[in-house]
Amino acid sequence: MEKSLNPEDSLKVITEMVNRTRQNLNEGSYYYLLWGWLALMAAAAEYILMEYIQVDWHPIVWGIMGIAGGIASAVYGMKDKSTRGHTSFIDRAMKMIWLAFGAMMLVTLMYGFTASNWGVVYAFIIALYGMGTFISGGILKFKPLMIGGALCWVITAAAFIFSDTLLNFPTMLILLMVSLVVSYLIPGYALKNSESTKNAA
Amino acid sequence: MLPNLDPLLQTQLRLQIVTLLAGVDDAEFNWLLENTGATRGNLSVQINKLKDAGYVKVEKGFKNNYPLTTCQITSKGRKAFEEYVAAITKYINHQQK
Repeated sequence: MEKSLNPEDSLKVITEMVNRTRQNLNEGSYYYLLWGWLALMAAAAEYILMEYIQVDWHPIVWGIMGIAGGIASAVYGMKDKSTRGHTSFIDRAMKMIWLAFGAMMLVTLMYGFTASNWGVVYAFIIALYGMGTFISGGILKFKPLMIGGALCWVITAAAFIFSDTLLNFPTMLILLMVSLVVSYLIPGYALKNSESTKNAA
Repeated sequence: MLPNLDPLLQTQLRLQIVTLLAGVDDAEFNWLLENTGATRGNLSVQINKLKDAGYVKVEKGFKNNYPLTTCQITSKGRKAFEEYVAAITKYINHQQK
């Protein structure tokens, strides 16, 4: 005969299980740190190739970064899914946000190839990943990501307002590096720290 | 008048399963096993009871050549869980008066 729970015991069971689900939520600091560092290294490499080595094939760094990041993300994603044993609304929402970012970035790159206005393209890409980090931060209720995302918009706006001095190369690469630090790396490390604290709780 | 409590959710393990599933999109059998602390056999029996009641959807497949059971709460199960939470809240509030 199964023992029936009274309302107080039911509430205890529900509270305990809700806390377990919350502790199991993975907020994905790995992806922010991976893409943050990869893009920062790519931007730094492009800056060196453009300014000091002075070669025309400097954009190749972005292709290499995309392939390396794509492979690392796919491998980590598969491994993570198989060890975690569940998927959450957050996983689904993040996937949709960054898929939409990828699609928007491709459209923006098409503009770059047709109009050859790469300063504007870089400025819009900064604003686009700012949007991604801002929405992610809102879903995760994690302010550093939201602040980082908003700062990307400030950087893009500054590039347009002071276009004579900022909307050119290699200055845009410096703005890109600053935006990566504020929107990916600082929030990424803060998120990692918050995940470790939650797992220890 | 106080509402009746759903007898299907009034046992510890079934309530644990439904609460865990209400917080995720889907979950593997082993994840439920780990988080409920139940035995494999008992968990399987209770999942089947929830499945028969239409509270849980169960999918069987394979992962790395091993059988994989994935569970998901249905809209009927979510509604029953929400009603159960509302009912126990009423009971507790009533007792505190």
